Amino acid sequence: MKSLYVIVVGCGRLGAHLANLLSQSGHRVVVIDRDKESFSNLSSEAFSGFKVEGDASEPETLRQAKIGQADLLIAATREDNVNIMVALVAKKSFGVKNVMARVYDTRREGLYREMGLETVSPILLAGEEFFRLVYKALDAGGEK
Amino acid sequence: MLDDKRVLIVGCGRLGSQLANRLNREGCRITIVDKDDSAFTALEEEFQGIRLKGDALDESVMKEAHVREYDLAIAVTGKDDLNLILGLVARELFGVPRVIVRVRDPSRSDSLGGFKFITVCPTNLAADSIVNQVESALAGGDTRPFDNPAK
Amino acid sequence: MREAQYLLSRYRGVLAYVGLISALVGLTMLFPLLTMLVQPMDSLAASAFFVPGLMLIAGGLSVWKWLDSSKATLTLQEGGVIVILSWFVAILSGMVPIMVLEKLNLTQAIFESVSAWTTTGLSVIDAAKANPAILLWRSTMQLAGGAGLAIIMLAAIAGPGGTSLSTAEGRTDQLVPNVRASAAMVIRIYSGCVIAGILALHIAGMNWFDAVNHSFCALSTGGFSTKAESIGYWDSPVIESVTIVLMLVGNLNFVSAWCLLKGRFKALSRNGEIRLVAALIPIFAGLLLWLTCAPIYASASKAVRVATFETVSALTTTGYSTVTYGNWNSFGILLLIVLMLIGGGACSTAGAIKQHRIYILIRSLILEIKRPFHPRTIVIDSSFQQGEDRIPISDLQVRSIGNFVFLYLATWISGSAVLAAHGFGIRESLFEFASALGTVGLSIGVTNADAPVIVLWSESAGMLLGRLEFFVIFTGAAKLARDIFRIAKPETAC
Repeated sequence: MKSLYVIVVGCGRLGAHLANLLSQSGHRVVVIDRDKESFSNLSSEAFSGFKVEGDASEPETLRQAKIGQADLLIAATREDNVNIMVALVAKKSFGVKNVMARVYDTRREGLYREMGLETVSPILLAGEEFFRLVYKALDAGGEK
Repeated sequence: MLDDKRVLIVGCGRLGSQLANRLNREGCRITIVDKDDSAFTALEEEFQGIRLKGDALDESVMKEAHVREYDLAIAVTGKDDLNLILGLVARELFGVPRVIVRVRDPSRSDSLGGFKFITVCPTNLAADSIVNQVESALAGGDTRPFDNPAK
Repeated sequence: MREAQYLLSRYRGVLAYVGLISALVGLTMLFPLLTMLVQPMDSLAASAFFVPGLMLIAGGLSVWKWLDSSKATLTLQEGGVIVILSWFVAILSGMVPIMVLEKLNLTQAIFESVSAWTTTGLSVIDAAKANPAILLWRSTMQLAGGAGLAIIMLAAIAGPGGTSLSTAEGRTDQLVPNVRASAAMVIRIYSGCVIAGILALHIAGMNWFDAVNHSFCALSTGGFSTKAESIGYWDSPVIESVTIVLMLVGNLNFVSAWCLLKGRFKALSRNGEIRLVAALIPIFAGLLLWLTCAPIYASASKAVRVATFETVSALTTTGYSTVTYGNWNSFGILLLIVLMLIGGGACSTAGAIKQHRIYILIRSLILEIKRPFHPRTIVIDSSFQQGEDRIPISDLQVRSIGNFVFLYLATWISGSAVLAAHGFGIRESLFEFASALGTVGLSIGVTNADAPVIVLWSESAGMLLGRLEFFVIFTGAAKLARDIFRIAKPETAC
């Protein structure tokens, strides 16, 4: 399987977890976060990529992460606006082909799609999963 | 089929209220607990269930909720640890047959012992979804979406 | 109770990796059989390689298949245990052909095996009389030991491993942001250099057999030779120059080597280790030339060659020599000891305290001295170059380096004392033990087949402690002992 060069922006829960999974699968992962402490979320066993401490909204930070080589960038910080901006910069200025952004405010999803960004909404996914499980539980509910 | 199913929901935040509204429309008998009664404004007008204000682990609240009588308990407060405790209490102590709990922190969501209730971790779901997209695109041999023309 | 169960499940993973590494060790054992193409080997000799080799491959792979279920990831401590157990397997297997073919006793065979895997190069075997298969085996062990069993393994498997193994082995270099991709690249660089080395040495005048062995041992900064006189046998400036280049390349840490290949010279020129080496070699070689070599050697060119070669050999901890030291004055011996203590580049195949640590200590010292002279508000640049990045020097780093250096020097003195207690002079004891501890391999005469048993064991211990940088051995052994206790006696843990 081909190894992708992936940049993950934001080393919070989602970013760190993503970085761990992708690194373990053999992809080359670089994680960017403003705060050095966030890198402790990374698993020392699963993650073998590089870390860049800096503000991803600054092009210099992205260059340090060698964005020119990136196959995929995932913006996973806690703020929608930052994610969108970084995603756009990656796509339009640096020409990264595949860009995903995490969104909290699901009302904006349509707009982001129009801009050519793939979005990920953990909240939506959790909601869908919850409903699926609830219906399953209640349907089966007769037997104790 | 969902008529008269009794559901306990702890936490009336965004997800909690969504669940409560929908299930209520489908005919479930819902008791929803939140320590902050302003949270209940998220509930629809048609909501017919019981609203309880208080700390779900508080004895008096538990008594009022008649915890033993539910078919399904859902813990969706803002705090992972609280949700986990609620899950354990509902399942182990009160024997609620089905329990679903939200845990935001991925490292909390897999347990050494194996919980007897279901945990839903939004982070894991999102991460898994992304990784699956990546892997299936690659496995399908279609690396075109991922090839960087600049290289 | 639960803890014992939990530990056992973790050890499945640990033993699985040990199995895999053992299989790889078994594979290397088959390599020397190639000498049969040139010179027949009797069946006993061949089976000394064949039998353990196949057993390891079969056994190791079965353990790997059978135990490796969950693909769980390892902790750093578990990595340490894996490293210890693997080294154990490697040393014991390495010893078998040596014992059988060279008729050595246990102490001597283990010594030679340890010297091979740790890329030291001290020997109790007379190379002139040894079986070529054994010579090739020694060189193969040095090549593999230099690359690091762990790195090879990481490249080979398709499973997880994270950075714990390479960190546990004492390396933290990484070329690209994924450990398996990095490992694959390291292997490619290493192989490329080995092949280039073989060609270069052959062109310079060695026959193929000698070229292969010396390329293996120069790049891994090991130092075993097919000749008793080491590189001095050829008395050839060309061969000596090629060997010097190979030793310097072997001394480069992988990140620098990669920069070199990619043409990133600016980053290289700012690298502290490279600067240190660029400074140390001329200074030391110059001093050696002036005060030791010029008086002894008849021609000026010979003196220059000797001074340069021995300096590079000692600093890179390779251990090839062009002369013996019987007629050297104490100043020369002292210089060599200092070089052997400073040692090679960090994250390379070299040993001792390592240039990187010395460089950081020097920077730290300079900062200390400058500090009172600067106004309080000035920000001083305290960072060093690693590959492409500048990394700040932290107090924690300086402290841990300080501790390491202290431990190193204390061990050196203790080991030397053991040698001295057996009748060897101060000069000889300090020299030989520095050579063992730093995995250098230069010998002043203490190490040979007749050396006292305790001396050989002390040197073996020194080589291992030096190669694995003490702590892996301590923490790995401690964890292993504690875990065995907990698994065997679960009631006390409950």
